[in-house]
Amino acid sequence: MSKDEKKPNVKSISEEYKYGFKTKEKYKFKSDKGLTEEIVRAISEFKKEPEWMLEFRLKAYRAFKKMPMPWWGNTELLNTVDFENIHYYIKPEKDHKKSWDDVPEEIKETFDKLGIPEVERKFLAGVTAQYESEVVYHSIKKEFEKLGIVFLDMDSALKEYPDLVKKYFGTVIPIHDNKFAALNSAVWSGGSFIYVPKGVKVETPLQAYFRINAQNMGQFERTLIIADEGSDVHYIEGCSAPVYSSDSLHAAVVEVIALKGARIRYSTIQNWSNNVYNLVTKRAVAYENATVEWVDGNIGAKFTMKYPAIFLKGENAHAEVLSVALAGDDQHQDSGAKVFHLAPNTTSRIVSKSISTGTGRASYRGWIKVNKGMKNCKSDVRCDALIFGKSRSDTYPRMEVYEPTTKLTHEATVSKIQEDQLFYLMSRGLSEDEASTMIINGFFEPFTKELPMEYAVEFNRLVSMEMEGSIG
Amino acid sequence: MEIEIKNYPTKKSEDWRYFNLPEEKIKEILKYSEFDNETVFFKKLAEKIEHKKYSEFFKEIDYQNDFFKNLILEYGKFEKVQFEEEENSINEYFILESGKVLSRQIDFTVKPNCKTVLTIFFKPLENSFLNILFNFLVMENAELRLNIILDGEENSLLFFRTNHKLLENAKASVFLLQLANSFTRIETMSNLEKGAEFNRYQTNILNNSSFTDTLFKAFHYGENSKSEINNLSITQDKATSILNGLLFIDEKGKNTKAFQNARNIILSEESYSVSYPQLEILNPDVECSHGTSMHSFEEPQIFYLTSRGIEEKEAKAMILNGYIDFFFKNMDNKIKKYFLDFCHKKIKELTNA
Repeated sequence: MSKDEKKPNVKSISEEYKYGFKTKEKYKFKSDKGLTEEIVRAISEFKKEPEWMLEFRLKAYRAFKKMPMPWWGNTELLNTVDFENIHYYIKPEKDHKKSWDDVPEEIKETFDKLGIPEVERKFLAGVTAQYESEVVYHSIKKEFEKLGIVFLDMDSALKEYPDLVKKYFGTVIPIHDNKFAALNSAVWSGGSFIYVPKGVKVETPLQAYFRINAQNMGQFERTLIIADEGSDVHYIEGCSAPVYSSDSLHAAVVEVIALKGARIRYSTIQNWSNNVYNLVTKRAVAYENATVEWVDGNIGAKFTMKYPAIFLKGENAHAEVLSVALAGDDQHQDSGAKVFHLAPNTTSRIVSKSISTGTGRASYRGWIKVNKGMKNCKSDVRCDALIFGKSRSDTYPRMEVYEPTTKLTHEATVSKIQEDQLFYLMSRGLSEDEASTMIINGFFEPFTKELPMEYAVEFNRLVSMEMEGSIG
Repeated sequence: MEIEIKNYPTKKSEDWRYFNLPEEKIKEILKYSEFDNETVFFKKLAEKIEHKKYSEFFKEIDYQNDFFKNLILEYGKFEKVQFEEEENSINEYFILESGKVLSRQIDFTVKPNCKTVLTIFFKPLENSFLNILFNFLVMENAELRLNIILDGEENSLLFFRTNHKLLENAKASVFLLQLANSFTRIETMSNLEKGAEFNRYQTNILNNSSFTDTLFKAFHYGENSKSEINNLSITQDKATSILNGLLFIDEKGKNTKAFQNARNIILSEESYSVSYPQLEILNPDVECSHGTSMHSFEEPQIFYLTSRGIEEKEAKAMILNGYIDFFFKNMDNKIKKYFLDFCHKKIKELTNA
């Protein structure tokens, strides 16, 4: 194929965005645009929540009103978030179902297109599907239920396990953490709740899928995962939204707690459409000998600010973050990771990979902190970026060490695809596009190899699609 | 030609969002300084500082037009120096008396095809405040080699800032040794045009409660430019070393090579190090990297030396000296010896060797 015959440049990801379809809006309740105390009260009343949760929401609402927007990061984009132009709560027509057949037709159609029931049948232990503000479908395989694993949507968990929820809710990410965490705390709806009992190992992953369908919608799910002593769980989340001309907001809060000796892996493939602001707060706590792994892929959204954090609170705890980002035209992926070593002999490893292409911008923002007296901590950070076209790539790592026995290393590189690599492959008969795709897939390989195979294949396909024609 | 440093692409506040200097530390510094009656302006601002945290205070500063700059403009002295001869070599030894305040801006121009070597030793004595701004204009094909030693005494306050404007194919190398026991802020901004090259080597050897806060930014505006920024920091007692760096590659900065390296050696439980090396790249045709490490002594290194009959403190001094000798390997031999003598003396003090 000659250069002129090449596929056209990716003008707008929305043109190629496979999940950009929309279905007709049918809702039981849709709050007016903008946020008031009445809306917060109404959400709580709809859900028939206990008094403490209403108090929690109101406290958060007041904090949200008072708190300023973050003054760092891409403030230009941040300040375009119009809080008055968002529907904060949309309830789909029917309550959530345990049988796929009972899910309303339009919603079923949506998730069928996304392939959710299919993957569930194939290899998942359980699935939650959230549509707008509410979970519409939820199931967990019987054999896992028998082991005592609790996998519920957050609203049901609050009803069925009130003490457990009250004990941990908001303990990892307090209301005042940041403006968007406060907003989520005020209007949260849906999300997953997972409790894995002592010593139980969930061999197949649990999955949640989040879908925004309405225009100018705000989705504020709240996820809480607790892995009791010696347990092991893998949770996967995916997300998408239709393409609209005006913007939607996704401000989730995810709290993850790994008790003594537990292991939690949290994988995300964020593939929101190009008109979604994805401003998410994710944080985990790892106690003695526990391991928390964030595997975080960011492909979609107009603007992402996401820095999964891990507080290593117990001795020998381990943190692992694997983060990849692909910023295409008009996208800004501001992602990264934070690890705080708050106990001795803790270790952490961060690998960040990003590609920016077209007019996109990819930023890595990280923070490693080792507190005084926390002996023999080790941390290794590695950021690699590939840069194409008229895009921009930034790295903002921060390292703070208050303990002399620490060993910390950080490395970052930014470059385009090396010509000798291209030459090597092209001299063996590959076209420039094929060679570039191969190099890019290899670049993301540390990430994809950590995903279940079905996801890895889909991820590579998405990356190839977005990179089409942008090289050479 | 007027020196023009372009606006900084990073938001001012981003440089400081993580850093706080405790209020009592600022008060401590101010308490000891005796300002001249005529520096009313400074006094006014000094009062303000006392009530604000350091970070907040800096958030409002435009680096090129901040209060320290204004201090120079209003009460300081200007000096203009121009080198027109092919080779120049200047050595200065500068002592600021105890309790005195001095603000000075010095504009240097190195004419095309000239080479200048400038070596300056700054020693502000106890309780003094030294506020220095150097503007270096290095013209086409010219070369500047700058060797600086900062050795402030306890409770002195030292603001040392250099701006470099490198025109086509100009070259600048900066070797900076920071031994001060004071609160020190070091800023280096460099602006690189086509084919320019900027190399910077800074070593901080800090003990007691000295606080060194370094900011550097290299802006690559022309193609084929190159920068290499290296930092080595050794902290003992209650010393603090902060490094905040940015390599910025403009859209026009085709075929740029830019590298930063930082090694932080933390020797005591009370000392600490913070590194914030940043990259902002707007052109795909680049080779950029940065690396940072933070650690103390490696056990095998100490074991290797002590097993050969060397005392532990001697061994530690040898290791540190090794890092430093290697770090300054690119210096001119004559000046290197002068630098290393200072370093070795200070290392001896740190390790009690």
